[in-house]
Amino acid sequence: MRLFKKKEEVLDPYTVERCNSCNKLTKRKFKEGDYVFKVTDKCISCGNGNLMVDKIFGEVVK
Amino acid sequence: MDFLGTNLDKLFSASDNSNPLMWLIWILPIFIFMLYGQRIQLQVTSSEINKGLEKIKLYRDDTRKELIAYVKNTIKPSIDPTALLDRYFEYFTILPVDMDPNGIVPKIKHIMRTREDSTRDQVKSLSPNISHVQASQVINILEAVTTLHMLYKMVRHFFLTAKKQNNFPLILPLQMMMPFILEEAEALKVAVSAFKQGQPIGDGIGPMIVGKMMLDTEKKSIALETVMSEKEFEGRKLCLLKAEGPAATVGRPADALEKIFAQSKPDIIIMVDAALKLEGEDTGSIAQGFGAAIGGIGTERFQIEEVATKHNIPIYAIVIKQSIKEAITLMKKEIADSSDTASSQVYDIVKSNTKTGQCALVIGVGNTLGVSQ
Repeated sequence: MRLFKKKEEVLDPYTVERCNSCNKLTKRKFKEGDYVFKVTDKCISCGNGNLMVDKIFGEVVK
Repeated sequence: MDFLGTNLDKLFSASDNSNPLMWLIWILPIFIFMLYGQRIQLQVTSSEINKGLEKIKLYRDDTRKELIAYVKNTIKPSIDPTALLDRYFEYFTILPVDMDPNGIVPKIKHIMRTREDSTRDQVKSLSPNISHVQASQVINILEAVTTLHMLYKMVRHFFLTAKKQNNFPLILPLQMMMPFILEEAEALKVAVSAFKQGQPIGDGIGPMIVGKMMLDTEKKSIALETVMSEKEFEGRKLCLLKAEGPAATVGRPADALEKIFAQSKPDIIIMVDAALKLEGEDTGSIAQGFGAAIGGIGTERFQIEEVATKHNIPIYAIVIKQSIKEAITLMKKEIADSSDTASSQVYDIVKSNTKTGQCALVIGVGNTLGVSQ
């Protein structure tokens, strides 16, 4: 019956941050304490804006 | 046919029907299956169900251990919480008598609220230092473990009863339901990890869409764990409503809606929620419809429908499709990516169903864990 065993799907959590000034998106691994719409850091790309968590989601590990 | 010098045709006397060995080989199994067929089937089915039952037991024990460890390590209560939590797993809810269903919804609401309030108080009593978000996370994990415990007890009850009475027909519905029960049990087990880490779950897509619309507006608390804000959109007023994130809560949107209607009357209601997909449908696909898109036991939906009907307000719904597992585990990319399209559909509904100067109430329904506003 092992032949028909369903492969278990494992999700890897990621956080996507968006700069409110230059709109640059950065994807990184999820850190505990992250939540959607949390303002995290200064944007290192433009130096003007703040990074805000835009999305947190899981991607299937292949 | 001659294998290793043995002639099978001769052994079974295939050409001679009067051979007693041949007679036994063909007739005996027929009698055995006639007399004991159901018992044999019961044994085979029992062993399958037993495997499933052991899985549910393992899930329940694992999640129980995870909850106790989480409470001990994160909240650091002054006393050992094991006894209190174990007592909670056995809590039950007696639903009101439905012989006369008239007026049953407020009774169900009252009983469910009593349970919710009591759970919240007991969790908060674990430690004076427990934060609102931590308490909500513990409550959600507690619900997952309690559901797993209840599933285990129910499956075990039917399984043991069928075995005790050698009652094959009793075990058949259980065999049919087992894959669905196992799917739910697996989902609950995986959900605990998301609850512990405060990650958004699939059901949080509604609050995520409305939360984004709420950014840069003034938020005010309108009901228990529920916030609202107002903003302008192409000459229309938008009243935005969602559970207060990033705590793991669904809030009380129906109570909030009643309060909003007591102050001013919106012209349309738009509800954004996650919905269970049918097999074959794509995760994250969006559908529009009519009516109150809200799950749960039904009391919130009843309340919203009552208010909308009384004031003759149309209710529009936007749902984001997902499976039961996807709804209570870490939000999948497909679901998160659907938020922008769903959001533009909300604005389209507002534009096509209201005139300038009118007001639309947009409700993000679902568990707002890991989603702020």
